Amino acid sequence: MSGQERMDDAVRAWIRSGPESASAEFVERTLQPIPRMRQRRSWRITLERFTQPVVAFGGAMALVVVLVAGLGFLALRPGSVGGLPNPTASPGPSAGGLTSFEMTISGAGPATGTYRSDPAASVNRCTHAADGSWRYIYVSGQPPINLDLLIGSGAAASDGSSQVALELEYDPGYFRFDPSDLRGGDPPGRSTASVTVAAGPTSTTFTITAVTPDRSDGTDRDPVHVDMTVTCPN
Amino acid sequence: MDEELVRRAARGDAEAFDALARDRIDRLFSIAIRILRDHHDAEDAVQQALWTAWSDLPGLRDPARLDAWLYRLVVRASYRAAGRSRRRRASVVRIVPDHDELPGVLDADQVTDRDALERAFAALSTEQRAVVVLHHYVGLGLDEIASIVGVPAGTARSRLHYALQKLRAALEPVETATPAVAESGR
Repeated sequence: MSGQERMDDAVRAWIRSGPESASAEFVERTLQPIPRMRQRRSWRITLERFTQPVVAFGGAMALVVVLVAGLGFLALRPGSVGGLPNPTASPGPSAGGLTSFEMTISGAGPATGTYRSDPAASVNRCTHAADGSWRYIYVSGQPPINLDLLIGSGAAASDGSSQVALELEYDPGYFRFDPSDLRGGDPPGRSTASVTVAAGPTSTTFTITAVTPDRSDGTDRDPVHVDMTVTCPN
Repeated sequence: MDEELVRRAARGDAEAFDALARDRIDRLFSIAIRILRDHHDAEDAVQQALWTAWSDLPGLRDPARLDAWLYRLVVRASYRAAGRSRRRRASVVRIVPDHDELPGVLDADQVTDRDALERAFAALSTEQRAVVVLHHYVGLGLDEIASIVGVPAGTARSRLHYALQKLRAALEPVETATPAVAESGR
């Protein structure tokens, strides 16, 4: 066996070593919310139904007309292009169900503006853990926006208002804050954030304010101001 | 049988999707953790991939392509997780598995090799890592990999070639590497 073959074998063996399974807790945490998540209806499925022999050409043409009209309506609708929660001049109430967010970003960075959740987002999900903490994940659009919010289990307590961590990726913008070290990695004093928790009969609303450095180019830059409201079903 | 499950899941049958996902989640996690070398990033990538899979399953035209499609979703989610991770942490890449988690007893040379490979792998781009993992761990051919990662076959081939070149270089005898170390230390 040549030296190169021995090295390739070593590389292959190394790649194959390591974990082969996910934890049972992770599997349940990932799969349990799925029955409550919505699926996107595919235009392909609709098209296939309309192009069955019985309906044939007329139905397909009617669908094309409906699609063109629908796309035209979406293009003209303020605050929504391509499924992204675009910045709008003034925030309005969420059009979705109980799970929603509104967020205003001001100050530095490329992501300034007001955002609100799109009911058709791929992922728009709150989870309430047994320890009392909350997590809100929102994923939408092409290019994608990823929002990952953690509310600590003690956030509702009088001394727990800083128990909030957010990571927002919106190409080309990015920032994160984590003053209470819920996820780790945010040095003390880098960010300030506070959250108030208002628990209602059917939903819980989190009102968050934060100041954190913009980190869109991978280094901490001028501060971003974040005002955000998230509503989660109980 | 799986194809019927895929069709049912695409029509909104969450139980069918649950069965499909449970069969594949370990595989997807194994791929993500090998690309990302970080347990939490890998979990985030797999979670987002599976949630996107459920959401977008009605758009999957060929149920027989479910696995390739899931690989694509988890690779893309890994790219995003790696981007977030790079911006979150300056340069630290957690080593997975730790030496004490490895099966059996490793001699000093093997430990040195593993450390060298970890460092070399961490220096690869996420795109190069994905190609290495899909080829050497999943066992896919370059055409299939190119389709999954969305690049021409030639690009996939060159990514694999350069990645392996760097990994092999990491395993070369120490004396070969000494001049470069001395150079960088000046």
